[in-house]
Amino acid sequence: MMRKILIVDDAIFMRNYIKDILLEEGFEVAGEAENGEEAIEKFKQLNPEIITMDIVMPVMNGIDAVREILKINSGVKIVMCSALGQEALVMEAIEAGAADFITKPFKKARVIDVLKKLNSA
Amino acid sequence: MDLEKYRELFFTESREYIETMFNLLQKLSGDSTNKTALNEIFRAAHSIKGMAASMEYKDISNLAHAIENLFEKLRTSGDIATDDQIKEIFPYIEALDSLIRHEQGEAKPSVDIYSLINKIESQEKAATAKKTEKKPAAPAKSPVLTLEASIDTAADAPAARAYMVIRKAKDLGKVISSEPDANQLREGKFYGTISINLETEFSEEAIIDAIQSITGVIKVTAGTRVAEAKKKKEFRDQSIRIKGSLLDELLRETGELIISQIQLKQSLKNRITQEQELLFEGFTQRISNLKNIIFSIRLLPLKFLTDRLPRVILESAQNTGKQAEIVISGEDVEIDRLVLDSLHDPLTHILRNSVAHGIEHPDERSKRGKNQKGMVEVRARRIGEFVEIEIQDDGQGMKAGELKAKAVALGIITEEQANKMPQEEAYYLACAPGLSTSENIDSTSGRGVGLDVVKNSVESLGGNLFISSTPGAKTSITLRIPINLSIIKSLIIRVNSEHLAIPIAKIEKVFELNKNGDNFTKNLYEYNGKMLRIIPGSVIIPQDNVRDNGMVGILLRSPRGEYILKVDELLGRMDIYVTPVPKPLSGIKSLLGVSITGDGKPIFLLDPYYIE
Repeated sequence: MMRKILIVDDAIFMRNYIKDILLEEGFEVAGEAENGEEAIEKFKQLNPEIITMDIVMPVMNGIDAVREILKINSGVKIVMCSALGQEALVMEAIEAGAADFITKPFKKARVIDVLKKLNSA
Repeated sequence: MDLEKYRELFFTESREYIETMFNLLQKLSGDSTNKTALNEIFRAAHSIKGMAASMEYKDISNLAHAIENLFEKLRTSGDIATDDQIKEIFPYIEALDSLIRHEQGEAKPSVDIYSLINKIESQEKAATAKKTEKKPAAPAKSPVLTLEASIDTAADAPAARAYMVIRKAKDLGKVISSEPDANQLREGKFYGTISINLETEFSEEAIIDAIQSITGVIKVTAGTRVAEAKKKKEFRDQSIRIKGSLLDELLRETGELIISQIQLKQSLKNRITQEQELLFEGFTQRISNLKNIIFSIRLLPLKFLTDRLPRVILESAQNTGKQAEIVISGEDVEIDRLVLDSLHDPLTHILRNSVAHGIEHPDERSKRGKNQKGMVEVRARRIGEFVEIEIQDDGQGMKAGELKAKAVALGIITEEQANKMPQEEAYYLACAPGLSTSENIDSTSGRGVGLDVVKNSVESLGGNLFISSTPGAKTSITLRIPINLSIIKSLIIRVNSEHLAIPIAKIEKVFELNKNGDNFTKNLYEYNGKMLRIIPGSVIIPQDNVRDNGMVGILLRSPRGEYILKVDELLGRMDIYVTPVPKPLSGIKSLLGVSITGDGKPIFLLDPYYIE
């Protein structure tokens, strides 16, 4: 059974890119958010089981959002979307409780592997 | 993934970010302690880097990355950048801007990326770095096992993957020490394997299970137990590009292989041992499998076609002053490439019709209590060996009465027939030539590509067209098409020494031509009370020594109406395994395909709609 996913990234470009990959694979995209604060709101509204979370965003960054969201529901699986050279930030996110990460530019096969794994967890 | 469609979006977004960076840089020149500005420029450079990397624009990505690092240092180091330093940054942004413009088609900028990046990096190093601390290892207390995990060398951000191992290990017990440790990982000091001393109550198996599930881990050792992850293929369903013409050739050869097999079977019919028969069956099965594989290689998702449809709706709406939107479902249904190609024109025409003749003007729609915006739904689904594509609009529906009246006026049906005709049947009159182009010949539908041509195209592919409508509410046109190239039941005819094939589905009647002077002039023939054009078969394939005395007439239909094709002889029926017509003949409308017969001669399958 395919779970609901919330896509969080401040660039429409990246959201569309990820959304296309997810839809093709049969995932249900529950919604989108463009910063950490909106991510928390949308999370409360839509109750997704999986979240793809960009790290660097305005208003509230991805790592803080991860902390807040896990406080609300510690079972959510959050995948960080990092860019090259952000290993330290990714580690911080993992420390905060993110389940996994994928790096940009996304390799479609990798994205699918990670998400399918979380989907069956 | 097809990156083309993201190009425009990339340019729009990155140009916005560039603007932002310039504006904020101005602000910084006035006050270089402005944290907000530093953060936002950092973020902008970061975003451009990510998008450029996805688009595979390496130079843009690398330059953006260097600028991003510079601003990362500036915003975290607490050092205040001088005015001169800020001034130096402007050319970096300009260079980034000109690289992006170059991708858009402007002249190549005279920027030496590498020396520029080096310059940026030295400016970055000049900003003071934070100091790192090292924590001393805690002394071991209870049973400790050594956990070792190897990370795939091809993994992204291996140090971060190794960090995930530490994180998981913390869930499983107490991490006494690790080599490399967390701080070293954060500095990127990782060389493929991480070793952790773990104080834990869990079994070795449990630990291996847990660590193995981490993305990127290929080998785990817990105490004395070792487990290697199965090497997952990185690209599971990797696509390759091959020339379409090669696929066509492959299909053609396979067709010939099948024919050879049939010939062989025929010739061996009575002289085959039981063992040979078994072997032959195996042979037949292999060929059949081959054919199926090739058919599936030729399959493409409908998405390739449906992706172009929103544009058709948009243009039609603009041209007619109406409002319309399209909803598409079932686009992953796969059909043969050739069939897909052939569907483009019919679908486009049907959609244009929906907007031009189906969907009403916005005011009209409001009056009827509908949304001002009309809706066109394209729904595709697979039903066995066929695909059904339904195009439904929520417009004014079809007017059976008008269709009937026009058909009577054009002599297509009699008034009596019109009166007896049920509404559902009357809709199909729209497919008659002369009726299928409406009065309002606008730029979108008036090119003579009527519903009659659509019906013919669909039937040439071995499919059917269905029409239904609810007056005032909706019109629905369904195309039912075979997924694979069909085996088309055909009639083989002889014209002089040439053999040709005509799809039986398109033949209205076959009869012997009566040579009585009355009803037979050179170009016309009287049949069933109608004078029909008669076309000699030699028109199709001009030959020498033509003896134009064939006496078999085949009643066919073209846009001009019924006509009679005069041929020499009927040779029988045949299932023609249709393969695409090779160039340079592929442009000829009257040729549907070609098949090779047992004696190696090609038989051309004709489309009677276009013979005359």
